[in-house]
Order: sequence, then C-alpha cells, then structure tokens
Amino acid sequence: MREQAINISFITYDGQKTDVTGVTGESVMRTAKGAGIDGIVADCGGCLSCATCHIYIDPDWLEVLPPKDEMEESVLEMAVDVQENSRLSCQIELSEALNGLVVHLPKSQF
Amino acid sequence: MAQVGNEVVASIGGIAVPGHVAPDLVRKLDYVAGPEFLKDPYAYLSTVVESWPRITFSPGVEGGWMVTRFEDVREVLQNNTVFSSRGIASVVARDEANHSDQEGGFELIPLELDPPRHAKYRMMLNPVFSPKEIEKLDADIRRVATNLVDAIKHNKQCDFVSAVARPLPTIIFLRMMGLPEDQADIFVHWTVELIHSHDPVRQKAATDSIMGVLFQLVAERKQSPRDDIISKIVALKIEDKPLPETDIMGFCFLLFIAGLDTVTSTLTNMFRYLADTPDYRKQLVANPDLIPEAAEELLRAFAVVTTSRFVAQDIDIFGVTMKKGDRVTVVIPAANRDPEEFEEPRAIRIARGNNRHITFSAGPHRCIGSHLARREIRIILEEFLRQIPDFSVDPAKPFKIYGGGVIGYHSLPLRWQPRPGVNQ
Repeated sequence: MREQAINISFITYDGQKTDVTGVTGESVMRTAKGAGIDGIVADCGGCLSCATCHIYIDPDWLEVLPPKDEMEESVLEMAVDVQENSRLSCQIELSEALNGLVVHLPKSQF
Repeated sequence: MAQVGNEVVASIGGIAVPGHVAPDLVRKLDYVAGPEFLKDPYAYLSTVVESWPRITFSPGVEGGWMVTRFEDVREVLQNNTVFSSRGIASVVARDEANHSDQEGGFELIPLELDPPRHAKYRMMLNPVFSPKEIEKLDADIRRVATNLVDAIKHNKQCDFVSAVARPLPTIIFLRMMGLPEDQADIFVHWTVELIHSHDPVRQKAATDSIMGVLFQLVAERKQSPRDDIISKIVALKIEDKPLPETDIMGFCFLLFIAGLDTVTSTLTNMFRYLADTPDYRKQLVANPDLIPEAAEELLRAFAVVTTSRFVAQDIDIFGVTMKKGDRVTVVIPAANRDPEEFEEPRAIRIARGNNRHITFSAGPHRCIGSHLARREIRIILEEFLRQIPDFSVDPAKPFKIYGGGVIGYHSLPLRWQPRPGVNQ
C-alpha cells in the first residue's frame, strides 16, 4: 500500500499550534520527533519503557483512535498528569482515519 | 599477527587489538583513571566528543568500541537487536542456557534482559516507580534532607559525600524497601565496597552481605507482606506463577545498586560545580523557583553513567565494522556534551530549552527511577541552598574523583561561613 500524507496539529501547553505532515504507518511520536516538536522527548525510542512521549488526544478525536492496550495502560502510569484522554504517542500509528488529528502536549514529560 | 580463539589479532604498540579494527581508531579513552580525566572529568569528556574521531577503539581489559556522539549513543541504546545487554554487569557467574543460577548466580533484572523478555519484567516495576507513588515520598524526602542539612549547618564545614550525598538516597531507599533506617551506615559501606573498591574479593564480600539481608527480608515478606517494594516484588507473578527466587533477588539487587550510587555521585558533581560557581549558585538562592529547570541542566552537564552493550551480530555502523561479541561502551556523559545536539554544550545555563539529555539512558533500559532521582535531587538542592547558601570547596583538604561506570567524588570537603541571623 502506498504511503499517504497525514496532517497532525500539535498544540503546546500554552496554546501554540504547529501543523505537521506525517505518513501512514508512522507513529505520532516519530512524526513529532522528525518535525522537531519540543514537547515530545521519547527517551526509550518507542519500546514502552519511559512514558516521555505522553500526549493528550483532543476530545473530538478520542473515538476515532483504536483503544490502548494493556501494555500502554501500564506504561502510562509512568507519565505525569495523566488524564482520561492521555496516550503514548509512540503507540499511535497514523492511518487515513487520523488525517487532521489534533494532539495536545503536556506541560512537562517528567 | 596472532591467533586468539578464532579471532585474528593485530598488535599495535605492543597492545593486542582485533584484526577488524583500523589502527588509526585505536586510542585509549581513559574515563576510569586517566590523569587528564581525573583532573577534570567533564572537561576531558567534552574534549573527546568535540575533537576525537566519531568512534574509537580502546585496547585492553574491558576495552572495545567507544561511542560518544549523542545520536550514536542513542542508536546503541535503542537498537537491542544489534546491541545486547546480556551479561553487561557480570555480578556473578551465570548459566547462559537457563539465564540464571550457577552457584548462586543471577541476572540483574530487568537491566540484563533483552526484549521481548525484558518488557514482562519491566512492566511489573512501573507501579512502584510511577510519579504518583514517588510523589507520596515527597514529605519523607524533604524531612530527611532537612535533617541532614540541620545536622551540619552550624559546623561551617562538612564532607558533602558522607554528610549528605550518600545518606539521602540510602535512607529513602531503605524506607522504600522496608528496611530499618538505622542500617543506613552499613548499607552505605557495602555500596562503596561493591562499586568503588575495584577489588573482586571485597566486591564478593559486599555482594554476599547485601544478598544476606535481602534474602532474609524476602523470606519475612513472603510470610507477612507489608506496604513496601520487597513485598510487592515477592507478590509479582509471571504467567500466573510466582517469580523464581533468582528473579526476586535479581530485581532487589539491581534496585539496590542502581538507586543509591547514581544519585550520590550526581549530587557530588553538582555540588562541586555549585561550590566553584558562586554566580550560578546565587541565582538559585535568590530564586528557588529556578531550581527544577536548573537541576535538569545540571543533570545534562553532569551525567554519571557510562555503560556497555555486546554486539549480537556483525554489522557495519558508525563508519566501522563491528563483529559479534565486541564490547561497545556508550559514554553518556560525553554524549550530553555533543555540540551537534546541544548549543554551547560546555556552558551550563540556568534553563536550557528543549533539553533532551540522556542522563537517564535511552531505549528499553532507560532509568525507571528517574522520577525518584529528580525529586531527591531537586529537594536537596532546595534545602541545602536555603540553609547554606554560600559555600566553597575547602582548599586545605584533599579530595578524590572516581571514574568508570559512574563518575563522582569519594569525598568533597565543603566549607562556609555561618549565615547572619541563624542561631548558633
């Protein structure tokens, strides 16, 4: 299947918005890192060890996302200021359905 | 040329190096006991990352590839298919086939496990070190920190290592593990013997002593669990079965050596810098709100851990050919000073935006205790600077730096004038 461009908006804790284009199959974390989004640290590189790629999903998009699995749930415990809409961005793979996804960044990853 | 095992070895300047290593990359990066390193460890490592070749090969015992660039270090730590952590700590003999138990041998869990086995164990520890759990310790950490500073503030001097840097994380660790605090001195002694004696006989004795206490504690908590880490580890299950004794010991022992010496060593480097740099210190004293971000920058500038991996398959990487079994050492304290990643890396700022240091490592083995370490460091900075704002290194007293797997000070003699207005 050909890769498709997917748009994501990252909104910082103090309201600054950055629009980034990623491709299907890539994770939100890698897309953010590639675009130099400051609020995503991702020390472990996406292997579910650190919870420093923590994001909040915009409420409008919550139902579109596939639910988190047990592993992600467990590692999310290691994130700071976890809310109902918290996710680890390394576990969200871009798909056509996520084109236009809006993601909010936490104040801090630790 | 000579044959050692199945490896062709060349002799360069009388020192044997494997045949696949280009002679011009053979250069001793002595982060253990080199005179230049011991004079000023971080200036030396800055020089290495700024001006040495991208990768070098250190000859000799525990030699091998030395990786110092930020991106390369991250790659080694994140790519566990090529760079394995099996056997990196070699605490005791182990049986490769059974992953454990050769004359009481055990693995440090989960540090020495590779994915996917690693994740199962790692997940179990998350609830113990989550920010929520660590936050519960805040008042305890502050009380211990205040007591330690109270005990020395009228003395006008102290050895920072024995008065503050060692007892703080040790007392907190004992509390978390459910061990009596009055054992802090003996635990400190065992840690120092184990990590800094560099003498196999003394290390073995210290290991046995620590294991003895942990064994007894594990047995007690199996009978009557309490609200402490040991009880939680004892209650863990893997595939619905209780953990084997070797796994329990592996967990406990790793927590012991990982959590104590690293925070202690980090604090000694930070306080040496603060003692030598009054302008920096005064800003933090005048505005303690700056401490959390300054602590983060100090963590970047003074990372303490250098660790290793073993090459699991032949690979061409970083411009060289690595062979299966080669040791690859990642010098994290140098990587945090790589000018390709950090603007003016030698400059220590109060706040550094987008500070992606890898002081807590990277990849699956990234430090699980970072929330605890950060809190301990922040609190002792706040409490010490509040009560002893003006201090310097005592020039009349000698002190000694150690290198190797962890960089720090055996002792750090500080002195200060009593504060006006503080009751004597």
